Amino acid sequence: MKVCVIDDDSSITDVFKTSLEIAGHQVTAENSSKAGLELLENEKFDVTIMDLQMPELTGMDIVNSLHQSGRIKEQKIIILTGSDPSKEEWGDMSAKGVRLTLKKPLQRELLLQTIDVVSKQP
Amino acid sequence: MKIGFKVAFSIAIIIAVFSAGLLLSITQTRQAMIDETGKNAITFSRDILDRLDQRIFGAMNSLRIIAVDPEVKQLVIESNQEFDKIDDVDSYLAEKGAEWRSYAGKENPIFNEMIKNPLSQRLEELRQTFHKSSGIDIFPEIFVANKYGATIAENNRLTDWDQSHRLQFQNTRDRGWHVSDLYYDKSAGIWSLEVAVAVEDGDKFAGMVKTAYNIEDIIQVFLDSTEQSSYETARFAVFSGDNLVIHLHGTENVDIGTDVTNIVEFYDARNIPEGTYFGENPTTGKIAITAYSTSDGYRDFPGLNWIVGGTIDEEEFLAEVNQLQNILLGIMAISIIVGAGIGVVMIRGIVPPIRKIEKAAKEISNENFDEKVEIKSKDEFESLGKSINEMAAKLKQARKDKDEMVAMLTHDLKQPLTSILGNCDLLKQQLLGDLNEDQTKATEVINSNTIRLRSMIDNLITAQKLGLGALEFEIKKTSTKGIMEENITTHSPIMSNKKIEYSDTSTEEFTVNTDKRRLLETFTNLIQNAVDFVPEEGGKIEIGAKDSDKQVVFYVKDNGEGMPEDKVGGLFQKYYQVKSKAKRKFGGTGLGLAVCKELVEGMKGKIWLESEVGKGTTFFFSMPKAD
Repeated sequence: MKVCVIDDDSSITDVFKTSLEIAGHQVTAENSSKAGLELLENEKFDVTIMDLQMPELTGMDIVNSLHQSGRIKEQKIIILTGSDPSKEEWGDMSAKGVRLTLKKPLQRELLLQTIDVVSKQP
Repeated sequence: MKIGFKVAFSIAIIIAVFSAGLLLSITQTRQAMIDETGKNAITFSRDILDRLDQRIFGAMNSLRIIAVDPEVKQLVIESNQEFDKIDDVDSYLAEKGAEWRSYAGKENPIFNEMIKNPLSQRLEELRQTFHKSSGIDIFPEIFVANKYGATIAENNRLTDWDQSHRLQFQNTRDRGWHVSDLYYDKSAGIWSLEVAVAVEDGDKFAGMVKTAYNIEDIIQVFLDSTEQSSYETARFAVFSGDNLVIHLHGTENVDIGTDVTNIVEFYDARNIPEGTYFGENPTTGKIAITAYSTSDGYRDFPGLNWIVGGTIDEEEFLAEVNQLQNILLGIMAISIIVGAGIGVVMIRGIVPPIRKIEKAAKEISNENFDEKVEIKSKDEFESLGKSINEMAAKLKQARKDKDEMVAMLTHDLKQPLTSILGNCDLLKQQLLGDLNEDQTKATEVINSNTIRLRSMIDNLITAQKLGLGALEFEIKKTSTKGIMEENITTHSPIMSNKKIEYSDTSTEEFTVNTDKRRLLETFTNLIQNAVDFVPEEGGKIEIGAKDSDKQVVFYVKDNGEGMPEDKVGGLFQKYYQVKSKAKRKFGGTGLGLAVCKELVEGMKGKIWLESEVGKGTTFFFSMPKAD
């Protein structure tokens, strides 16, 4: 599958890229959130893993933008976050089209399973 | 209100002491006044008595002038010589006496002759002379008797011719003088007093010169004095030695000669020569001071046995003191009122601000930092209130800072952990190449410790949320089977790594109302604790769920060193650690068990433990069964 990973921390994007590529996915990693938004606007991916806390544009900014443009339905977004979103926050994310949240740090198996599950969603 | 009570009590004590002081001074002043007045009254009485005594002494002296007159002496001696010739003087006296008495009511020739004889003339001459020179009438009436007691001269009053048996003659003969007490002279119709002196021939008794005074003349002295008294309610009296009224000056009219033996006021006077008495006057019924004195004589005159006394009503002589007393009582009353007023004002000024501060402090200790203290009294309380508000604001800010710091920290910590774990997974699964045994072990250690680190961060976040009251439980019907399976899966790697026997010893499946995530969090904490407590060799951990009526009780059992009873109590407090004798160091932030307790209790369960030193520890926690 085509997977997009957006996180400002390159050691995270590196390890995910390696991990997912070993599992047979095609991975595009992006460290700049601005470039990431552009990427999501123009290219289609099966699943996108995205961090929340990023400089310039945050994960939510990107989600809002995609939601406005309608692209969010096609780009299946999984939010990967170090913070613990509250019910309200998750509600907001879900309403805007986010598929799932994952918490950092996480084990490889969980990551792979989640990607699998989300990609099978309509 | 305790402070209010203390203030009021203190003020009351001060006023009481002050009042007591005032009362004492009033009482003492009063007593001093009474004593002073009493002394003055006695002095006054004594003074009068002295003058009376002097008066009598003066009278005696006047008579002596007559008694030592050569002509009088000569005539008396001549009479004596004539009587010496009589054989039976007693018979002669009796005869002549009877004859004298026979003339009672009629013309008395003996008397007529007596008042004209040479002696009588001489007496009259002396009287005139004295009157001319001193202006004083030396005697109103006078009698002379010879040594046998026969009256031989008189000037105007009939008297008993035979004086021999009379007391005044006998006294005069025996000691040279006589003064009688008050008596009623029937012939003259007046209360009188007699004075007599002896006529002497060398040192022998030759005769008697006697006079009688109208008592009114005598007590003129007394009347003059009492005119000067400035007291209106004062009553003064003179009583004779036989307790007869000589004079009573005051509001009542009591006749001279009234017997007052039974009047209580002077009852003690016959026993105690001088005294005062303060109390109810039985005659008037009023409270008064009564003072008296008795005569003590003048020169060789031993004195009349008279009493002079006086009484003054308390109303009058204590008028000033009573007035002062009333003023002081007024001051006392005012000071009580003022004191009470001050007390009220002080209490009003102290208690409400203290209450406000108390309330604010309580709110702050309950971590409500928004309560503001409003005190505008422009005193220390106002600044205290402001300080408390500042303190609350700072505490609020400090907590906010802490919360932000924790949030930031826990968030930031997860970043490096993510890549550590990610890479570790790749290594562990030999996706980056084969690993030898040592390398595999090493990656396993990295992995388990990273997971360890993650749960410590999770605990910190949970504890923070619990502290903020921000943790929300999602209670759902959950199967214990799934929970147990996940527990085994999650922790088996580390168990196999450390060669710890790890198993689920549940015999049944249940459905409970719980928040799965938080339940697993609890298990993770307890299991990770157990891992640290089991021995290096032959460690064993059992987990499971068992039935307990309406609850399901979960357990985590280890065969570690156990804990002594006295250490068990504080176990669920934050930051508490039991010192382990095991070589393995006990890590952790000390939050684990405290978090477990709050999570379990938040899900309506209970958590407890059983432990035996040397055998092991079992942690239990219950969850309500789903219907």
